[in-house]
Amino acid sequence: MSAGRAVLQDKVAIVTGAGQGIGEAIAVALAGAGARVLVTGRTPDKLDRVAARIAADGGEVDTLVAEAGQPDQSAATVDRAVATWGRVDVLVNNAHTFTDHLPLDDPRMEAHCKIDLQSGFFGSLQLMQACFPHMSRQGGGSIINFGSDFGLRCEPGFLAYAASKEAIRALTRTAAREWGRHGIRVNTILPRALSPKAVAYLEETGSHDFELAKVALGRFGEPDDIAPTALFLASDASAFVTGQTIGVEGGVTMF
Amino acid sequence: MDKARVALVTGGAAGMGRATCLRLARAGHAIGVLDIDLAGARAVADMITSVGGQALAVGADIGDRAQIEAAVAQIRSALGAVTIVINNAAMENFCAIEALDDATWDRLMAVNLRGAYIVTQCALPDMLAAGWGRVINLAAFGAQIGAPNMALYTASKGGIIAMTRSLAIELGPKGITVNAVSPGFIDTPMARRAIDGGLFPVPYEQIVATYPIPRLGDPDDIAAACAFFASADATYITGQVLGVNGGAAM
Repeated sequence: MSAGRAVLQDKVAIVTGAGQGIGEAIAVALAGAGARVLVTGRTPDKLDRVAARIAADGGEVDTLVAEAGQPDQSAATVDRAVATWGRVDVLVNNAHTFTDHLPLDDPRMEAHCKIDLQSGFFGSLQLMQACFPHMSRQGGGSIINFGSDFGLRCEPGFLAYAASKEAIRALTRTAAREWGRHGIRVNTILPRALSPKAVAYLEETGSHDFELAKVALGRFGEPDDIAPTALFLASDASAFVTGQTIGVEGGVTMF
Repeated sequence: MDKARVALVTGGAAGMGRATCLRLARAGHAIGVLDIDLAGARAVADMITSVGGQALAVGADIGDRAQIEAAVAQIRSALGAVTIVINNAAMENFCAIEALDDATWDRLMAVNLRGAYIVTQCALPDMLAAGWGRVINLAAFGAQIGAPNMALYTASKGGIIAMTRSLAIELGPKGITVNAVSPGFIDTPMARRAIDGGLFPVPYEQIVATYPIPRLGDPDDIAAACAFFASADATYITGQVLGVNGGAAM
């Protein structure tokens, strides 16, 4: 599939956490395939930069400052896309506020879990609920959620993150079953593209080389490695794909 | 568009293999259409060449190493280095365990599982020389969730999934990705034989009505997933099993 073919012509997409990294790469890829894209995130300057990048390529883009997991802001996000373009076809739930790694017995653990779950799990749920009436009325849509191979691996210190990411996979599969008859497909990507925070963690713990050795393809991913899979799942090329989990992680966990 | 390469599709004469041949040809690749049904393979190759594509039909039994070796050599000689392999050829089997016999077991495993390994092995030198390769294996959703009277077939496809993951680790450092597409209930000649043979306990319409996407899959749904894994878009994906099943197995 090539982004050059406008496989998402006339479609409207929402991409959360799109001010940088994976979200930015996906927003650019979807816009490049013809979608009109609403990019959301917490930092106006970052959103403006991404919007300018998309617009410079001839794409149609809008921005909204919104934090994942805030119900009013989730509702406002979908309202904005529908008010501007009249529909919503693709939802990419990329935003996730994740907490520092922490041992299980740390008294802050429960608070950390709540932060991860609020942004990642509840944030995804809120936007899906807000999109549902529009997608079902339109006769379909594609929702792309983000899990993590850390959710499968359950590495020490990452309970809050792993639990939230596995909750998102449960959300994906439940929605795939409940909403399939409305033509709404829901899938999960397990990405591996290093964020600045992840790089800092690997360096701090001295685990960089050890983690790299687990990657069959011999390198850590980049946001641009992840974006084409989101485009595949957003497009009709995946018309019979729903409820699935696909790892884009260089061959580490092999879900 | 991606760089043009040579793709070998086993079982390319019909169903998912045929759709994959046509889709990869549209993506600009030259196609080795391999099938035990040479006339059927020729019809697919003719469809590709009639619209300006490159293709060669080769007849071979995937259960026979010598025939595979000869077929791969023929495709390499006619089209060039084979760096994309779609291991699609397979036999079906519906049989209660009490009635299953060893010869049937051995023959099906020779085609569905051993054949995939031999085809991959025969094309491997081309992929290693290129420092680039794509192996895409066709599994089946029954291997993931089980299916009555299909222990043999699902065991062969379960083997495909395990082989996919192991080869992904083994070949990843050499620039070769190995992934599986795991089809659900797809409208193929194989599925139609099962439907027409009364092999399902209820009408198939009742089965697909329970799926989140309540329809039979189209062979092109599978071809699209194979084409995705074969493309530059899937550069960082390996060892994955992508279900293309309308939500029948998650």
